[in-house]
Amino acid sequence: MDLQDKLALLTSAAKYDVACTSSGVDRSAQGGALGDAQSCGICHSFSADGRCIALLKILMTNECVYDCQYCVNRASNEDAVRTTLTPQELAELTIEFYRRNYIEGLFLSSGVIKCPDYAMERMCMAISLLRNEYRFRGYIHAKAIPGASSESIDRMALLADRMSVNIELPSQEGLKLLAPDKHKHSILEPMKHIRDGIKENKSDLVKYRSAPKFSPAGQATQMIIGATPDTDFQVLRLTSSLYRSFELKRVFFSAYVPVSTSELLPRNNAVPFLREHRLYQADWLLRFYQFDVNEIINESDPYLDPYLDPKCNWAMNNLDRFPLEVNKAEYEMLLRVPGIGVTGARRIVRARRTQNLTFEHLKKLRIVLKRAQYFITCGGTFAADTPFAHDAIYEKLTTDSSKQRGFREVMQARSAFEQLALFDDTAMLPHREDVQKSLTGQL
Amino acid sequence: MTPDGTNDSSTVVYFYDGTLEGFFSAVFDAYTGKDRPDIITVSENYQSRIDQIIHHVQTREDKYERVYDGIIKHIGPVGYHKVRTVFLSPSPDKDTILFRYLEYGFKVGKKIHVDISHELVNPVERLKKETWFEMHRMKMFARFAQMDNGVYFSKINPKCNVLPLVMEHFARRFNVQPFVIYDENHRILGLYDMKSWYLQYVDDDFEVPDCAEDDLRYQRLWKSFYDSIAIEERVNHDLRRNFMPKRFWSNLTEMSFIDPKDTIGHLGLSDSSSGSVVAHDELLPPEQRALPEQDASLF
Repeated sequence: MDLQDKLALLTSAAKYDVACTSSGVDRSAQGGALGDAQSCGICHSFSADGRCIALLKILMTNECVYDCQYCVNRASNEDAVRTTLTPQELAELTIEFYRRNYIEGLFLSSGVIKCPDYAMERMCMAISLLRNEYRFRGYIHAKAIPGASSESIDRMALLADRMSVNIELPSQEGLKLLAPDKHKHSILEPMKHIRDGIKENKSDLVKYRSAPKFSPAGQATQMIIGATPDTDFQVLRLTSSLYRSFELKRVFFSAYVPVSTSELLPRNNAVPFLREHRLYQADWLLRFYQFDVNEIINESDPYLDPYLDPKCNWAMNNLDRFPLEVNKAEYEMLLRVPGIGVTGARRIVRARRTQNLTFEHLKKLRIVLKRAQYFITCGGTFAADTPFAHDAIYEKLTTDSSKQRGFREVMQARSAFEQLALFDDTAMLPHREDVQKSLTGQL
Repeated sequence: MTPDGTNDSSTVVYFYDGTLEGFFSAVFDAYTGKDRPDIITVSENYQSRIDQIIHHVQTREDKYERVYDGIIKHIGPVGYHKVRTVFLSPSPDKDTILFRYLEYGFKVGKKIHVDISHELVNPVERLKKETWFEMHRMKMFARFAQMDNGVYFSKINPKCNVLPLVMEHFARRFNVQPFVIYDENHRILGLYDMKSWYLQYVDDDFEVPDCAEDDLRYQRLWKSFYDSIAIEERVNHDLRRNFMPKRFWSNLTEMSFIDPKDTIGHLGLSDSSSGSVVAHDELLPPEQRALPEQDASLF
């Protein structure tokens, strides 16, 4: 198989790993060595599915002895064509792509060839080639294989910028059922070891500035959404505890795309895009907006609202805290206003030091007044086109927001399509309002 | 108020030579001269009226130095950086906007960095963001190809004159390889010879050179990677265009590569080289296939 075919195959096998950033590390260029790393991260391209491409994302091999049911590379998938890249081929591809400014660096994962430590060893050979022989100073994100030994992990973490171990399935039941080769502890042990290594390294670096760095851009993980019956509550509760106890930098969510005909997995073809989107919105609230997971979701109502994003949802459930006076409210409360983001809140706090802010000023500061207007006052004035009342505001938010419009069209089209199966006569096609009502449970 | 004179009640117009030194000299003249300018611009951009007072600014180094010092003193290096960046913007009003900003800055000092909703400050903050983002996009979307002589060549078409900002970034990152970046819109070459980088204006007869035969191999590999990484069920051309506007596509290998040896390559890539219909389209059920792009806005 020639290099181009191998590349296409192993890239295609790696694409369901959605981690995409090249952020988290500043490594300045050095004369005589190729590359540098910038902590803001640089996207170099965007694929046809709209996702950012910053790194050469690839598997070293798609040979695998594990049989995880949701995975296209599982051992029992006889249709899969198996191939492997040598460390030399991988290093060369990375360097030549990097020279042409196609990528910021490498994202390397692997099927479990022979056993976890063997796979890790092969990956380390490639990364070590890059770091030591090619003196590559760009970004490297390496996946640790579940079940790998501490020694393998240590070796890899000293070469890579970011490490991740994919949890994939949010619950133990799911894991047992769909990925029996990956025991819970074979995933959590490596994660703990990486966390501890990073912590120890940070205190070493305080003492010895030139100590080698241990995964300096931190640790990440991924969860598959929709392959198991786990609720949003379970997913978010796990996410929140991962940020807290494992000190992860990112948790990624990957909507399950049916790549398997296994009996154990959902058969319908609908990819849970909206659910994934809502989970990312909730994730942002946890990381940037100082929300606690219990404010976003609870066990009795375990799915995120499809009509309102989690922030709007919280605001609507806590209307007694609003409207906020924009010239006086604290930063932490401004963050909670729908339409005011982290940048917007910072700008408001800055600008109101010299000016009493009016709605005109807020427009200049790029606050999304279309939403924020229902939750704020400027100098005491409430400028929305409805009274400050729950139902009136809810109506406006669910019909005005253009993002919601996109979602509704999808839902209505689907629903209409399903309804068609019930009605033979197309003249009996339900009205938009009826579809809406049936969606919200009023019919 | 626009340089073409519509809705223009200005009486005093300063013309300068388009350089930063010239602009600072204009600011100097504004403070030392008789008439405060309503408009500062370059003469190519502006049709003056018979009733307007025209002043042609003489660019001088001492004028530049005085204004530079004044900027650092009143609004700091941060302020200078903002002025420097906004100056690269293609906006025809930028000179007048900057002048008014500096007037305000000389009056209120470093408070100007906090007063971001002020009508004289806000336009500068906005333009600075736009220019910075255009520079960042050049870092993202510049693509190099190796020529026969070993030098890596890249063509870019930025809206703003960001090549000076971007050369620093690439000269550091690619310090082990000689390269050239050609800004076709502004007719400037950025050259790095493994020791330092410098800029050069380009002759009218300059032609973009061909890449080496060997380089095609890596272009093919990159295109292959690009086509393989997308998840078919998630294809979303609108989303992609949002992040990566079409005006960048002609310089992106992955969107515009046409393989010289290719009729239908073994991966069926030739159709997707236009970028608007991806090879994967055939795999989608009919209702999900992208409609042919109607690009009213090639923004």
